[in-house]
Amino acid sequence: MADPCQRNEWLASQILPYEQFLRTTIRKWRLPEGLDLDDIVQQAYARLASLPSVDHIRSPRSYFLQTARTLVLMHIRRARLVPIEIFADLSGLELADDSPSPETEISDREQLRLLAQAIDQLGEPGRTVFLARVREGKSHKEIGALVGLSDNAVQKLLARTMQALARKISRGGSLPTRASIARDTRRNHGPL
Amino acid sequence: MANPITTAAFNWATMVDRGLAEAERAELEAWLAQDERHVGAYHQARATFAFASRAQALPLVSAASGSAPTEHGADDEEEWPDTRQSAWSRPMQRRAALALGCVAAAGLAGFAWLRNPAPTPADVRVLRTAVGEVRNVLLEDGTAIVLDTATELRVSLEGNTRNIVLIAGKAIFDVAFDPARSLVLHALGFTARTSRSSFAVESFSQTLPQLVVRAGVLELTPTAATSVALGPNQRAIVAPGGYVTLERMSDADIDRELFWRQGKIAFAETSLDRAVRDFARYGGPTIELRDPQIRGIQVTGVFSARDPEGFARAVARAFDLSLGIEHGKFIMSGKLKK
Repeated sequence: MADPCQRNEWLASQILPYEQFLRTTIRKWRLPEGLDLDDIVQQAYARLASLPSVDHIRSPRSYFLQTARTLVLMHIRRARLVPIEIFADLSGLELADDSPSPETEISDREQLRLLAQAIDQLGEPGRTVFLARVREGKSHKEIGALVGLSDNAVQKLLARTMQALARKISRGGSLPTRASIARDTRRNHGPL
Repeated sequence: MANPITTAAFNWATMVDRGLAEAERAELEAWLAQDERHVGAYHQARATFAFASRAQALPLVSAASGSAPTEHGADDEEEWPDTRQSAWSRPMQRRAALALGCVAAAGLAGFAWLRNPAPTPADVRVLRTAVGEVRNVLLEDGTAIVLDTATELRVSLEGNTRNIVLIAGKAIFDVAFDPARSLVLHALGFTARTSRSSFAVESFSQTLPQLVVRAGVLELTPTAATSVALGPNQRAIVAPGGYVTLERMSDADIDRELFWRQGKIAFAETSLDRAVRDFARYGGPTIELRDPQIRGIQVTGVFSARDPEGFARAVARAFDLSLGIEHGKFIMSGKLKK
């Protein structure tokens, strides 16, 4: 397997900021009853993380969607009883954004802005703990001494804060909305 | 998004960020192996860490002050200088600190280290108590052990794990915390791994081995079966075939289990037969139950382990049994009276 750190960076910059857009797209497929969106997203992450290489992937987002679609189909086949319209819906799905347009692209600069906004919305003392860890590189123990918490409490707080941050990043303010609008527009113009 | 898998994944990611003890590593491996969604959620959480590490490039707080974060104009476009290059390269040492978490995560690939090699004879110390003896031992790492009568342990503190083999008997361990080196107890039928806990364990030839956790957490792995996590006030009884029975114990139950530390034996509705066998482990005069029907009498109480005679007399009086001495043995017989 490839360098896990590199893969991590790749997921962080290519998938994570677009997660809400990806979720919205997947939800449009009308998942069969009992199949959870979270399950599909998590499984798609797992598949992407375990690929031997991602060098061949031109558009990580459409690759993610393709992976998700394969997973959905797999679940449907396993479930056997398939409402016909779901199958039709999925097979008709066009992944138009194989080469992302400028509108759907979130630049590094915007990603930073997204992050800053998300950090800004964090509650205390989670924010202080988060910044001490990420910006100042303090150990959990050092942070604990600083804010008067045990290492264990720091770790738990950091976990909650990171999860909250992920939620905020993936919702991404106005950006994913913009992205999905751009995509919808293109779909409408598709048959031209 | 209160997805429990996501929550668990973020918890693991921060634990990896903090640094994993060996037992935790094994636990994470096991968790990841359970379900593909666990793997995905874990990578999602790790990606969040990678994304969050860009906060180093943000002009948010003066790191030197260490005080509460100050206000900043996130919505003000002008506040964001496009100096990513320089901002990124500056806090090299901080990035290195975060990268460590990544290296730690990289090692999570194989299961090879789950099975621990048995200690090699060269660095092994034997701890053994005689019949009737109860001994306290403090190991070099700070772990305190109380060995009950006729107990044998093999201890090896060299290497990456602290290995202890329970050959036979009963002992209490107060394991000194060492996040880098967990303590692994090997007994017939199972191993137990912990980095900080207090537990009692017994292994006798006639009864099923059991382990009681008093404090902390411990991972018990029956031979050729999946491991279970044990917390405070839990007792695990290991049956052949890797079957583990878990029981909750009250503090009073645990205290009773551990009376032997003070040279006492405690029974709570224990059969007379079993109680007599317990006394036999401590030596001294033997008690013999002559009539089979009295074996099932249930005894309750705390007795001195060194005084089987006192025990025999107390039971005889309570249940109106006859007590005699033949060739230095106490013989109990008689019919039960209401």
